[in-house]
Amino acid sequence: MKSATSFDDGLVGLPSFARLLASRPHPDEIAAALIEGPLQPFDAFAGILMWLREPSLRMIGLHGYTAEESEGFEEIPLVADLPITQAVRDGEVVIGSGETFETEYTDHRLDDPERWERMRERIPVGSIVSVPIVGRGTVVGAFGFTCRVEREWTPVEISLLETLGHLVAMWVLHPDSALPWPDSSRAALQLTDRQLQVLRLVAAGKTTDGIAATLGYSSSTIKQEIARLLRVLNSSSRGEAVERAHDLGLLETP
Amino acid sequence: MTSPRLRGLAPAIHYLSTFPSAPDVAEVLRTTVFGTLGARTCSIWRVLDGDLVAVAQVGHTQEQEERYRVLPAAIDLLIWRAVRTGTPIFTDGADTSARGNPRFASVDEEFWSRTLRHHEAVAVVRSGITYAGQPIGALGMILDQPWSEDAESLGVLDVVTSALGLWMSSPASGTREIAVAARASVSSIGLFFTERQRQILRMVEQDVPTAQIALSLRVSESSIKQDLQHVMMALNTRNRTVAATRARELGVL
Repeated sequence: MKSATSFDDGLVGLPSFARLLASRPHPDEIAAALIEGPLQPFDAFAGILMWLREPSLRMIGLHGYTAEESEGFEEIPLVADLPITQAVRDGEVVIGSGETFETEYTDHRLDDPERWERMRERIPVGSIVSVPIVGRGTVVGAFGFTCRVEREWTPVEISLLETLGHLVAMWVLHPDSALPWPDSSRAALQLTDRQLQVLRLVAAGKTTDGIAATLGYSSSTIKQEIARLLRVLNSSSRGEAVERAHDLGLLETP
Repeated sequence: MTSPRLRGLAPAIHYLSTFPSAPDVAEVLRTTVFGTLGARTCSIWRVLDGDLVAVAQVGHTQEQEERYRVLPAAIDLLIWRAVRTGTPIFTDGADTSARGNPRFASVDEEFWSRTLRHHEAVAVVRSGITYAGQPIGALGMILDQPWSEDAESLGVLDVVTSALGLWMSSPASGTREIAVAARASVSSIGLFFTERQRQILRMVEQDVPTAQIALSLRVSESSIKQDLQHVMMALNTRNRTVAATRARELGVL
């Protein structure tokens, strides 16, 4: 068995992981970067990235598991009895053992012992770890990973896992992650009804004057509203603002 | 086993993930993660229309805050080099030891030297803040301890600036609004030149020879030349006439 890994080992991979998160990554890249970066010293070999969309967790990123191993985990109701849902419900890191994974939890996804047998044949399963993704003070998702060996986790190592969770949360909550914010995006951006109307008309390709005529306001009012929209959507052009608004689900009709 | 440097990191990242306001971010960085490294001041700028505009400055006097609120791209400042190259720059307390940057223009050097003395500076740290590969801001700190360039300190700085990139580029940070307001309140570029430097530039514009400039300002010819050196370096040119023209365009004169 490998000797105890220090927090410092995990820290070696932390800067490049943080840089990746600030580069508009695909969620699969995030899962891969976690496993091959800061979690690599802990013998992690596969990971899953889940996004909380009440009342379930949705799989958004995956790395290292076969199709069979990840089958059935695309959408997990929060009430399911699994370590990853427990991590979300409690807002705490949950560390379990590969040995007893199927017997400790009662979710129906764990009912097929042969499936886990095959997984253990493919790769020796050690610790199974679930980490809540906590941002803005609330849980917005979780990531889970499997290690080759079972190990004792020290408090500093758990603190590293929490740090990773907070970093991933910043990505989840970022408009470019294209995930709608857990609280409604509109509320988070504090858009008025009029701004929302303007936004939809911009998306429909209307000109400033056209929007002014449609809504019965002056062109300068519309220009002001568009300037504010660009600001809150962090965009430098109307096209970019529409794209972001679309990603945030702001253009869907209520 | 764990270095004290790491102690502040986890809570600081946790705090950033709540998308707090810019002054709160700067204060938390100054007192926690960089507090253990001796940070006396912590300033965060955002790139706005090509300039760096402060969104938070903690630990500075009001006068210092005003002086460093807008750092124009047209001025050759070390912090801009850090932003453009994507590599942090560390200097000593007198700001003379920039590795790979032995010379740099610090216009208004006197005020900056006073600032460093005021904070009992032992080291100065400057780093760019990027998001999606684009420079979007900068972080600057004055430390009363030497900065050690080991992998760990650099790693902490890396993690923090990446997280700052995520924070700053999100509308939730509110930094854009702060920068727009701060910029509107400052006519800054003139602050980077002393009154004498401006007088000299005005005379250069009118093709007054150095000897005569010296005579009319009652200083030696060599100090006129020195002033011109500073101004030319600051404005990225080796030609005094070009410097005067640029200064005019930038509204310094």
